[in-house]
Amino acid sequence: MQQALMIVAAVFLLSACKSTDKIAVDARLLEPSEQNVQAIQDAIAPFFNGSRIPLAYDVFTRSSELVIDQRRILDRAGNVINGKDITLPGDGNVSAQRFLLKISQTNDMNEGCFLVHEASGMTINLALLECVPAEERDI
Amino acid sequence: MLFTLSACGGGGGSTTPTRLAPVPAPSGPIWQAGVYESSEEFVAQCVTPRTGTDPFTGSPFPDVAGSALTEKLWLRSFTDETYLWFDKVPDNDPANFSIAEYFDQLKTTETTASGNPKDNFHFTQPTDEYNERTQSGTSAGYGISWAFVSNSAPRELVVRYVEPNSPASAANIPRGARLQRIDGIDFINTNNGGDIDFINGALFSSELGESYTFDFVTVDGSELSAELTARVIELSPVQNVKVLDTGAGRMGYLQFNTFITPAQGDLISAFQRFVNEAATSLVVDLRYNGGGSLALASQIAYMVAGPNQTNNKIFDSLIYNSKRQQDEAIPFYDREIDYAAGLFTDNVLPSPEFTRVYVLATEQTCSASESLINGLRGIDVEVILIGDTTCGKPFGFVPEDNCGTTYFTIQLQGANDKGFGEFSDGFSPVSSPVFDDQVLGCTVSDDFSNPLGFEDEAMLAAAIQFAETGVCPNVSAASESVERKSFGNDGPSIRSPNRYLDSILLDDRRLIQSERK
Repeated sequence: MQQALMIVAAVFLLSACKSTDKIAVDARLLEPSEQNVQAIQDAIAPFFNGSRIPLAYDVFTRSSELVIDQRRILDRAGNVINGKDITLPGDGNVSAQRFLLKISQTNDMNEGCFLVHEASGMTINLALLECVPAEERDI
Repeated sequence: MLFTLSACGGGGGSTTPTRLAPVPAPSGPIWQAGVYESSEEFVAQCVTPRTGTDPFTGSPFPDVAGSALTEKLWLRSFTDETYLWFDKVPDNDPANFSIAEYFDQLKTTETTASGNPKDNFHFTQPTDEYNERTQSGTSAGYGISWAFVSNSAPRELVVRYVEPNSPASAANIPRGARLQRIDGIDFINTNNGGDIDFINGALFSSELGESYTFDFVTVDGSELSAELTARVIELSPVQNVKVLDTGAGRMGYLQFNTFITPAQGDLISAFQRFVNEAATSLVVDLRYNGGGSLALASQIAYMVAGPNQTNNKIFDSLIYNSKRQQDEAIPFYDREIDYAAGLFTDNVLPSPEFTRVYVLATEQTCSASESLINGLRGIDVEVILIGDTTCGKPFGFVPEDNCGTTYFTIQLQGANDKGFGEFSDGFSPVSSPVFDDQVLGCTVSDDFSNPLGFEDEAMLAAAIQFAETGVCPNVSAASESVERKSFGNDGPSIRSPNRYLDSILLDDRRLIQSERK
């Protein structure tokens, strides 16, 4: 009887521990699709005063990071106009906005994915999108 | 008594005071030759003020009602304060110009040693377009980088390379393929206005999702047809990284197409590979690289040269006009940069510490690419130039908005650690350099008959041969760069000598023109 109680207690403690074991890990989308692009465009539009930001067809399929920045201006032959861009690190002149795709996991089980706006820390639920944990990013 | 004399103009016999016509006070700003008020006096005083909230900043537009004169006076003062050669700008009466015409003439008319205009880089763009946002490191289109050989019939448009993960790469369109038809329309010969419009639309339409059938002839003469749909493509500017075993040792090779900051990771991986595989010299293929981030150029220069050659050295000094108190010196950045945050990380960049670099270049090699060449030469890394003369743009600008137009006017010039930055005519490959803008090397035409990164490709082959023997390959006098031909046509050219003024910023993106225009 005492042994049975100990087992029950142990299981309870284990599950209690596990129930709080909810983490968020970097994620990527499983497949590219227009629906994915539109869902992400809708999610980030409020951070750009409602503007619809052009995104790559395969956004978030190879990386869990999305950076939105000024469009490069090209001449007619496809060459960049401002070929000597003097934006330097540390000069405070940062125009980019970064978003990170995350997936929440509980007890190693994948749950919904969501977007994090790095500058504000705000999150946007993307539970309808199919995403998986990203692999380690190569540097 | 004294009062009476004064009141009567000091005497003179007359007791009748003269009534002078009052001088009207100026009702607004005026142009006075040689007198420059602060640009702040005229900023955001617009013919057509923008109203409401700026979608880019989220703040109200600063504009108030002004006039064409206030806009022109702002341009005049802004130019006088920031333009690199402010003392060479004519001070013409703004009343004789429209706003756009007035800006156009606010620059030097001096020429370079070769007789070309010193200032080839003076243009404007609507601010709402300038501020447009997109996913960093992307471009809209089919994923084809074109060589515009001839825009007049018989037209010639050749594939330079295709982007991986693009519609063009999915269709296996190879380098060197020549465009024949779009949706059955004869691209090479048609002079029908409707056909020309259609071709322009197909080649340069910004409408994503539209599909066209492109017919090519490949290098081996076979025909290739592909239906391509325009979309936003994530660019891969670092391609064909490899280490070649040559008679001159192990040579790293790297094709680098544009200095966009998302390329940093692939660049670090490439140089780490050169370290791991013990490359002793480097071929960096910048033939299509028109520049971009100067910070990224500094990082690459560091990864080429390493800590010992770059320690306490300047990569590029940014020299402004004499009205600015301080110039800016950019060192060789030795660490990875979190570009989205604008911060350095703790990760030190890898470097094989090359002392000799072969740069493959064409006239498309521009700006930050030239800064890389100049920065390395400034610390005595030996640069061998293979290909053609580079574009000649040591200049930069800090774009500035006023009244909804963003103005680009030259405000700075780069100079290397030796203080050299006068390469407005480009760097030229020569066998015996005399002047500082001449670089030891070989003149070699771009070779569309071989893939980039292949040892048989003419420019890479020349670099290898020069490394092994110190001798350039034989080039016949008649040999001509395909890129150069575009300037030699009698018909309408797709590019003016000033390809920046000939840009999408200033016209309707029409590249392909009919003979009758």
